[in-house]
Amino acid sequence: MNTRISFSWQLLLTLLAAALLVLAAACGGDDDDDDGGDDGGATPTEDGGATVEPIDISGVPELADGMLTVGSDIAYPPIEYYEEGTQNATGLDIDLMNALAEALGVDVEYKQVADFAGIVGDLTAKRYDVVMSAISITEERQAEIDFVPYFGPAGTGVLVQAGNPEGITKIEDLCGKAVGAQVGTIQVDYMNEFNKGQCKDNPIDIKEYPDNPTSVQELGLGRIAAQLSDDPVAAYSALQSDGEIEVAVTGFDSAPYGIGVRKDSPELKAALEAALAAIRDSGVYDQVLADWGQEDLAYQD
Amino acid sequence: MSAPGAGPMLRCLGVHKHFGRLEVLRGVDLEVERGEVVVVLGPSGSGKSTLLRCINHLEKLNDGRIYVDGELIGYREVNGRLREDSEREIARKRSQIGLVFQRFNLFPHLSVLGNVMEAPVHVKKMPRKDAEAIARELLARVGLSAKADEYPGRLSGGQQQRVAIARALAMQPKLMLFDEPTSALDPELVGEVLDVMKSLARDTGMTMVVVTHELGFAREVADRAVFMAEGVVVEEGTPSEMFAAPREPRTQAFLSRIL
Amino acid sequence: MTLALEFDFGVVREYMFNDVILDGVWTTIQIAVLAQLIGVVLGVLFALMRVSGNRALGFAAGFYVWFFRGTPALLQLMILYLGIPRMFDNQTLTTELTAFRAAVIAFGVNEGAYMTEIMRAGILSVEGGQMDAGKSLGMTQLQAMRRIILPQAMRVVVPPTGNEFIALLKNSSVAFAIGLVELLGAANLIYSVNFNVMELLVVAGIWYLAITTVFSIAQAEIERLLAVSDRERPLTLVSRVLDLMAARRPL
Repeated sequence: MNTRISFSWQLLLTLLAAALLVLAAACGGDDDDDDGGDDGGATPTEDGGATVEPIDISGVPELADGMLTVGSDIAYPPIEYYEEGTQNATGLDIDLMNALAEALGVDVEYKQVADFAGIVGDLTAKRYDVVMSAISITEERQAEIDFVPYFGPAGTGVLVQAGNPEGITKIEDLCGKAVGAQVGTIQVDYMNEFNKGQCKDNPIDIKEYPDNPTSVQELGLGRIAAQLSDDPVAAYSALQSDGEIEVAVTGFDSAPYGIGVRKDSPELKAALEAALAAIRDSGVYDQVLADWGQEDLAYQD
Repeated sequence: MSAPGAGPMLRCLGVHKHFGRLEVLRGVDLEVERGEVVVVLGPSGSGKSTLLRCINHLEKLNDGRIYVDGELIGYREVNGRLREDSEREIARKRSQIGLVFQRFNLFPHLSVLGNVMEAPVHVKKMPRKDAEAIARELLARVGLSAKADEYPGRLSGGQQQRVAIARALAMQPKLMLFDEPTSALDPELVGEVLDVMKSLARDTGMTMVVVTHELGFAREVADRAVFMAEGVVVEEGTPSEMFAAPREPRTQAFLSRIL
Repeated sequence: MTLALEFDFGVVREYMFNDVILDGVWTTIQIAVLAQLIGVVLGVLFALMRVSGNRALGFAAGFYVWFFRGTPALLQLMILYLGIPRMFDNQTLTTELTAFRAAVIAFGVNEGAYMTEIMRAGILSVEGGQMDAGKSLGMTQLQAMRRIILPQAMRVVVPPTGNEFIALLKNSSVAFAIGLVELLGAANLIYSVNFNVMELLVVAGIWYLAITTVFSIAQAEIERLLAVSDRERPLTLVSRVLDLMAARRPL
């Protein structure tokens, strides 16, 4: 009896270990090369032609464990979202961060933040090493944290119901209407600005939602007249809506996206900047944008 | 059947009642004349209390009929078959029958006056003023005028039972049923309740059916004693006769135990 | 420069009576009060169905409790607010069903399931003899229920209902998921701009405590009123203050 039990335990453990090995091998195959930094001296890029200088991360405390923890509100397709029906983060930001991590020779872990509105506080509280979540660089945010700009500036897209029943063709048309956006986004800041300026006498009824998809739902249901988000996100929402909603206006002032880094992490900031420069030089950066059809989003200083 | 106002006040004909397999009443026949006071005796489990509950239809009958003042209780006859009355009709018939419970069952959230006024105001739709006048008069009759504004929880058991009698009388019933009205009381409080019942019988000529073990009361007030055992009426007669010379062995055995 | 890791009491003071926060407070109170009212009405109704002895009614009430107690209130709210309008495609219905109304209805119906069980327990706690006494005086079942049983059940029902109400006050914060700016949502809107997360959460916390304190005092008063028939009525904060004032008053 005893031997049988111990035998089956052994079998189980052996199988488990074997499975882990196979899994690790499979992951190691298509992911970044962990010890690439020590031996090769150069990290091969996708096309294999160009090589980049290795980035020295020895002075970066956050990366000492070989792992970069990224906080993100992973509900903002196509910038960052979970592949339908999975827990796999994907999107423009995710692909770019994966490339940066590869350049740095570290692993990445994405963590869903509790609340986009609290993302800056989460970073300062050291819940993550960095935050990357289509965060527009604003003065208020820069007062709290540093940024490594990487995309944009992205414009704001104004989503309306199909056929644009409210006839919204310019910003002023939003005055006096119920307009939705995600709480804590730059679009809410814009609307607050409009309400002090163009819409002073007929202010926008700003409806803030904890996540972007819910506010898009609200537009689909006709409870709000328009919904604001970053251009690529608005375009993607329209695409996914089966013709229920469309982009009415694009453009108006915006700010570039930045990777948020704590002010007391200058080494990490420098390493990310170096990695970004490296992948721009190597062409990986453009490839990521091209993969998502967002060439216009390339960072312009 | 006889019209209201004539004939006996209560007629029970072959009343059967069972709870599941337990047969509690197995064909009870009982008649009570107008103004008559009948005491029902019997060992526990003999069906006395169930009979009272059947008389005002708190329990449905399984067989037999009960008439109060010539009116069939709980049912109406349609083409020779019995159909249960509507709830409203049952309630109307019940309101003419007073029932005093062993455990008083006063309404603890209402004052003494409120207890007595409740049914006249909310069932009979009597104006509050009239109901209050009647209630105060009844409380005076049971000797509790001073307690009108108290809550039942602050009264002794004897006082509570006297309020319960006043509450039942407030509906001006044709028939009063008493279900062991003194057996939950401390011995020294029994007298005050029996006194109220005696004066009710003597001064108002109320028709009363009293389930009790108080033989003194029975001897003094009751016109007739009925002895029940195992769900049937075993023996009846005047109290003095029955207590002095019971005919049936079961009556003899019972009386010898409680005398 | 404000450092997010510092705690600034000045910010708490500044936002304590901010308009957005006060609106949030008012919204939270309204949702809780209205939903609790709906909950009590539904609770009485379904509890009566459960104790009626009628099988169909009892089953319907049992199903109601099973469903609404067995799924999260937020799920019910999202079904009502986001899901159902999609099924009907009626613009008037969708527009009239504001986030506030949806929250009141969803929380009220959800609360009704809990109140059904509380009311049922209250009704069952009243002695059977009370129903008999009511009926023997000529009351119908419903009359006796309303005049005799329910008033007595209330005493048993008030303390758990107070708990329910306070839970409702606090749990209404999940309505921010559909964009309803109640108290916690209001704090969220403000810290999303100024990043004073902790300070604004403290503001919301102080308000929640203030509201629940006021309602707890009110609950104690209701319990005291319902204890009118007791030998010793419980002392409450208000009764003690009144006693104290009476004692100090010169003759």
